[in-house]
Amino acid sequence: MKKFDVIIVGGGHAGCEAAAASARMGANTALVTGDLSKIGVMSCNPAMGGMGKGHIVREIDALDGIMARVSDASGIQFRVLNTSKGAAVQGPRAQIDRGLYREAMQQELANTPNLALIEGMITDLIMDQGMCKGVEVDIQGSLHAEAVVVTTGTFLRGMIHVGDQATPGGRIGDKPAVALADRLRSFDFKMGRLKTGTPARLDGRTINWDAVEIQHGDETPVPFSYLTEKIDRAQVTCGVTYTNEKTHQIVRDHLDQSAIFASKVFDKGPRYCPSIEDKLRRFPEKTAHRIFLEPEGLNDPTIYPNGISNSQPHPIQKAFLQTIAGLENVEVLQYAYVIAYDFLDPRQLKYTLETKKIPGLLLAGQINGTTGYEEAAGQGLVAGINAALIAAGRAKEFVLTRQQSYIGVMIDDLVLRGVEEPYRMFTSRSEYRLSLRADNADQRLTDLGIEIGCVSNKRRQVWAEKKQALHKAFDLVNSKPFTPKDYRALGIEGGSDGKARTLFDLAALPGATFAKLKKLLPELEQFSKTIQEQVEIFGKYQGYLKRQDQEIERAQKEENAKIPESMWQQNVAGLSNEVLDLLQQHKPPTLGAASRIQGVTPAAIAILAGHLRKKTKSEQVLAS
Amino acid sequence: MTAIFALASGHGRCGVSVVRVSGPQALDAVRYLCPKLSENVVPRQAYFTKLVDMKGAELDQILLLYFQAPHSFTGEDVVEFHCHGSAYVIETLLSILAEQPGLKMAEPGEFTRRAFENGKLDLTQAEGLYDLIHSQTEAQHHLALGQLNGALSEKYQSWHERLKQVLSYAEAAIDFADEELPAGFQKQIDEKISQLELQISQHMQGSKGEQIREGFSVVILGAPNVGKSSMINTLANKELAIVSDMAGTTRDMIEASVQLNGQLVVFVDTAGLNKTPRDAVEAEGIRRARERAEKADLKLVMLAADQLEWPEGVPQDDRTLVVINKADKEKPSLPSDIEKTSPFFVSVKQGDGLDALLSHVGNFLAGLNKEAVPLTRVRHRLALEQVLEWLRTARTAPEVGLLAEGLRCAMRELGGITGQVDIEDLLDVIFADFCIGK
Repeated sequence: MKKFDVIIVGGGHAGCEAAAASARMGANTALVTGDLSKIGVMSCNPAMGGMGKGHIVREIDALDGIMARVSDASGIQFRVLNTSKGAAVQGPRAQIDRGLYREAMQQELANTPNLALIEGMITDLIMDQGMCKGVEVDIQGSLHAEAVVVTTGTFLRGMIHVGDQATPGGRIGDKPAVALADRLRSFDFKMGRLKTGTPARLDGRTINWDAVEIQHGDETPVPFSYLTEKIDRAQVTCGVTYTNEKTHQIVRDHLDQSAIFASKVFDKGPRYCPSIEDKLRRFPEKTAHRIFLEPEGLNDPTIYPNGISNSQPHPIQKAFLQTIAGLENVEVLQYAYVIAYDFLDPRQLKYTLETKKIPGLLLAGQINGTTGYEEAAGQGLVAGINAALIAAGRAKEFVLTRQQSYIGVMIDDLVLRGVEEPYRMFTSRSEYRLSLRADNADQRLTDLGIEIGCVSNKRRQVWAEKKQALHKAFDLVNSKPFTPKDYRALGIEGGSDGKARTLFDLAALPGATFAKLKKLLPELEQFSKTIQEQVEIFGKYQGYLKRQDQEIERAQKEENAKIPESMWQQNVAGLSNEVLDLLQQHKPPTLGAASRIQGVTPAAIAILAGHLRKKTKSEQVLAS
Repeated sequence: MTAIFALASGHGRCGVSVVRVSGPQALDAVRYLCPKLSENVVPRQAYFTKLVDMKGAELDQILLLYFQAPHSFTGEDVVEFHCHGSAYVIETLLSILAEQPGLKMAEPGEFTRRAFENGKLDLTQAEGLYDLIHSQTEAQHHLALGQLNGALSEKYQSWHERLKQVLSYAEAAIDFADEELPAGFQKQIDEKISQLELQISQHMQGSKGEQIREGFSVVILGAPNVGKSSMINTLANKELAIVSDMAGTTRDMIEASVQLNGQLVVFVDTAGLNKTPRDAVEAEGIRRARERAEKADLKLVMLAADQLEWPEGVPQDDRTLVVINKADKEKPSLPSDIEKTSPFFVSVKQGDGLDALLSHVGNFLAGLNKEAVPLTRVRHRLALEQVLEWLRTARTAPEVGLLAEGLRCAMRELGGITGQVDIEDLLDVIFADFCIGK
């Protein structure tokens, strides 16, 4: 009998991050997957990050996760999005060399202490007194553990659709996980079905690159990880081309053969990733749709045509692709397809991503109704840490809040609201966008990670140094007020009150740029660019940030007010039946979560607060 | 911690209204509003003092109570203003409080919330209060909107929709940086914000004017030269209208605001209802007089002892009071149609009979029980002021990130009236309006 603390099922982005996190926490961890050589495969687009998603990658890094470092080790075109729109809303993004990513990820996991990588298909879960205590594997037999994290992505009863053909599969060329899906169904979990599409892959050697626009990355690549100093790898360009009326005509003529469009796949797909069929239907007036031609690797001729996913039969796909500028003679390496798969209604999860029904069973990634590598990895990280905490005796839980992070926003959205379509992160989902920036994920999260025990020595040290420098720089600014004479000389028009002002005060005044401000305080030059940037950002946004801090503080107070589960076993006097039903159904763990359930009124929250107070009081009496 | 304030008693016309302020800044508010009060306000002692407005003019005479933290309803410093229950006084007081630094109007249930947080309420008390809070919060915005007439409610909804749309656009500009957003997109956003600002500020200017004029209106109607202008001048105690014995000197309407039984009453003098107007100007004056009379809470039809003819085109209804002036010269014998209206006899010149008339007018108006919703209206006005400020901030923001933040704040303020907007609502707009998706 083999025994581990934690078992991770699945080697995708959620599984890798979960396995690494659990192992970093010191738990004896096994990652089980159907094909070890496919660990770290990017099944869809060859890119990482973007708005919201890039923020998650930084947060994972702040908690010492691996996605950011692996991306830095394989990125071939880095771009920070929204540079013209202000520091508060920038998101790092990169094109990734698929092969390099996979290699780097496999190497990272192979070098992770406490982690075993095991090949095999899961045939069953081991149950003991209603708790999940391991997995049965077709080759290995029984693997026991205190906690199991299932991260099977689209493999649960996956069905691949192309034209009018449907084939069972978890990814093109891989078997679906049917036994595990059936087992999960046997627990009477509420399941649903979603779909997602991926475009064809093209042979770059058959593309006429002279006929397409070229998009460059940033001149100086900005890495994802706070530990990566710089990116040395050669950088590539992407192509940009457009569909035209001819393309549209072919697609329209064969709509009845499209799997999505002939309504052969009813399951819900993401609105932000529409197929070309959908785009034509919804925006019939548009005569051209943009396509990005993204290289999949430095030494790989494969091109990912971003923006043209579909589910037409193969000959139709080829025909319409060849109407597009630059693609006249293109050869298709792999055709587009749509995949429909099972997911588990995430409202059945706790904030730790453990299922409410089966203690010891945690779920992360697409199985919870999300989409995207970054969203999956973010959940994997949280599930991995919590699995290790469960194995260590459940003394603590690791929960990220909406006030702290995008990962917290995502998990809160999932467990409280569920999903209607594959869930993707947008910065608009956060109430605190100006505070939850990509540049300050370490300031928000690394100390939390150190406290829970998922941060290794190297990062601790780097963070401690950075923190010290930040304090030093902020203290310097706060300790040096300048007189109106000082700053008027630089063309900064202050109020006529004659008050002395620090750099932070001055930053809000007309005419103040950071370059000018630095002339007042040349000592700032001794700090790194990163630290200077933090000073600049704080000065610029402090009015907004202070306001947001107050909101965060107020909200955090409610997040900290824990509601014991025993509360829901009784009638809560004063609450209407409607509200009580809602609360009993959701069992919100905190007052903050309760207040975000639709239909729960502020009055009900006041009543709940009263009950909590009474409970705390009587417990104090009992304790004394 | 900010202090909060609100009308703690019911609203509408009533004898006494209580405005409560809770928070560390509560006493500061007192110093501003009640300058006559002694330096040392002793807790739990009733003070009879003057309440003044922003210009230092007396607004009301009130009772003031101070409860020192933690011995108060909320556990914080609490000050209660017991004012006369006049819509005007309450609105003015709430407006002044809203402008004090560190003070904000309480959200529904916020006093109770603070009481909970400070451990001042136990469960039974909470349950007792439940119905009250419930009624305030359950349908907060429905109620708020319901108190408005249909046209105004529609206006709020249309702002809500417009703001939602422009916010969606700003969010799209941030989250879909790599997508094909239409050319001139940024300009569209700016224009939409400006339009919305214009609409809201126009509305606010309009309704501010209304507020100033607010109060009951009493229109004085009558043939030329029966003494209408003398009447209003006497009321206003100063020469407002040109008064002469020559008929037809009041061509337009003159107003006098008077306090009757603690209510604001606006008397309106009108052009004499001359059967045969001499010129177009006079004819227009008469038309306006009739129009104004239709909207009035009360009409005073003025006759003179020597001129007992009922003015043409003025209906006799239950909102009409007949006044016969110049009753000092001779006691007239009244025609039966006038006799049955139980007219008041006065002599404006001598000042006879006016007190009886005014007291009757005051009682009559008090009985009208005109619906007053100062609470809602002040809340709306404060919210709209905030909305405007955030829209300005958004429009002038140097970056799209801050523009969106300004719009988010504006939406939050407007959402207090119309209901909050959910991220899914925004995404709906984004995906409906733009072809997003690579």
